[in-house]
Amino acid sequence: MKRVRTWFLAPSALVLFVTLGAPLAIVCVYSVLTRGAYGGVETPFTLENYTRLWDPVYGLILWRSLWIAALATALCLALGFPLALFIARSGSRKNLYLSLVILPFWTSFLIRLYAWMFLLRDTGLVNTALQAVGLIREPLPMLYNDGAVILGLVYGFLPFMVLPLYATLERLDPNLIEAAADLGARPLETLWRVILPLSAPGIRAGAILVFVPCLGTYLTSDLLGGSKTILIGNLVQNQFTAARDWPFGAAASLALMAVAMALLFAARRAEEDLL
Amino acid sequence: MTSNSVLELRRVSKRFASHAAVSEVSFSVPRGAFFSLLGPSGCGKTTTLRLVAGFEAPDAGEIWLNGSRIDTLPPYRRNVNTVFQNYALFPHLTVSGNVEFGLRRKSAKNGIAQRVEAVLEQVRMADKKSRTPAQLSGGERQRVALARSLVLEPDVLLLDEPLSALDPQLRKQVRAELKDLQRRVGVTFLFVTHDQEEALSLSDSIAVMNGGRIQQIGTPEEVYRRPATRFVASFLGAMNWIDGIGLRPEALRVSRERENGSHSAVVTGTTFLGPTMYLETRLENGEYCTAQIAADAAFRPGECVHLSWSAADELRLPE
Repeated sequence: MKRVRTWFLAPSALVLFVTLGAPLAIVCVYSVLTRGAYGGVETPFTLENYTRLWDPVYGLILWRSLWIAALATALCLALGFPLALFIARSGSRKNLYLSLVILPFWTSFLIRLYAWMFLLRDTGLVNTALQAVGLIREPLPMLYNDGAVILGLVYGFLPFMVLPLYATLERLDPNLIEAAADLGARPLETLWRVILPLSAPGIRAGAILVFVPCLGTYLTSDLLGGSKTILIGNLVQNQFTAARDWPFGAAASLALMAVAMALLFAARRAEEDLL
Repeated sequence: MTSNSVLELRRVSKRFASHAAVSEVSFSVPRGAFFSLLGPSGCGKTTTLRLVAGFEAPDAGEIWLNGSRIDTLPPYRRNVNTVFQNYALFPHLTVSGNVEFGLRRKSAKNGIAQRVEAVLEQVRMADKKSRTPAQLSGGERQRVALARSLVLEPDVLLLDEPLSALDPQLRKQVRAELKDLQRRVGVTFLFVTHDQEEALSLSDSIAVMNGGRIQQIGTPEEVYRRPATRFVASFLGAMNWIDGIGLRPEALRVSRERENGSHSAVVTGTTFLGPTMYLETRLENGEYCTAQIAADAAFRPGECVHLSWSAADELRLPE
């Protein structure tokens, strides 16, 4: 039995090692090497890539990235929780609604972002329509700013919040909600004192699934964000492309990973203290 | 509404899609009574309870509690509390957290601790107040569920098959405790069960339900001895039907000698019940008839016997 289990696990273990472990090891090694003249890396080994990260410019970029990721996560939770609760309590229509939630995945994220650009730009659908009905004279600046980035992130990652929330809410014993009402709790109080605490595992999973990729995003901020502002994901991407500074890009991406893990750890500790 | 009744249902009906779950149900529960709704699964007894609790809204009829009409109020505004079949304790709260739940909004902060302590003492759970529901046995969970409701001093406590989740051995013990608690606290119980023995042993009054309708309301003795319908007669205890006349197994006398007016029958089998036994027989007309007699009577299968009974034990009931 144990042997069978080992063999069943082997393929996924191998895939994980090759696609996650090996590249990570390469990035670690690159981050302590010197940049090559035309990209790539050269010896000697150095820690300079890490010391450069202490420049306040990068601190600011990291801070902005954290802030935008946190805001996008909070918005996903605020929008996703009622939606997940609604789906979990809609009986035989559950599957229909769930497939609607994941329907956007049938199209590439890139194409969907272009669709947003088409909607939001100065000559886009929204501005044209608002001008046509006479609500505005000049087009509203809806694209190439932080608001557009957050909108894009919330749009893109909302399903990752809804699905784990749905999974916990769907398993919630409906008798518990009735019991709360029976004991005198109004609907909002039931939400606060029973439903929210019991959906903590779903909230935790959803928040991680949204926050971590938002923190490292580069596509959304690249397409919808302004040219002045840059997020940590774009910084890393730049180092590997235009700047041709692979070691610094590697160091920056590892630093991002360390920050994300430290935050998750801290959140876990804070939650344990709270309970 | 009679002066001593605390809860009254007047021609209450509830349909789910095309199925009539509860049809024109009327009854009134005296203050302090142990009132049972008894019937097979799907008879509408749990729906009736949920209508009183406010989890369902009636399509027709009225529900009165303590002199005011409550059938349009949401559950959180009705002074009734429910003990759920699975107890529905909040898994993220401790025993005292569960008991405090309804008190938080009802009374000032300072009285809460004493009231929680007192009610947990009453159900003998005071020493386990910091445990979570997952750390409790079935019987303990039931006591916490009772405490959580009783602490709010409801006009009526609604109990939805509260013993069915327990082991059979435990059930009899808990049954006695429940009756004792109800007497001590003096709270009115509306108790839903499908177990006739439970209903007979616990209740002051029983409403027997079938197909969404009430068949009979009476004391345990009345519904057992003078059932109003064939359904009630068969549902409460075993029943023989001889020429359309109902006879309880214990009303039958069995002897080897022919008596005046006795029916002859052939023994087809016996079932040992401890102090008594069931003697299964077949009458001359081919009908089967079971008698409950002392266990030491030595009748053997194939033997010819004579069955007799007194006319007072005959039950003539409409179909």
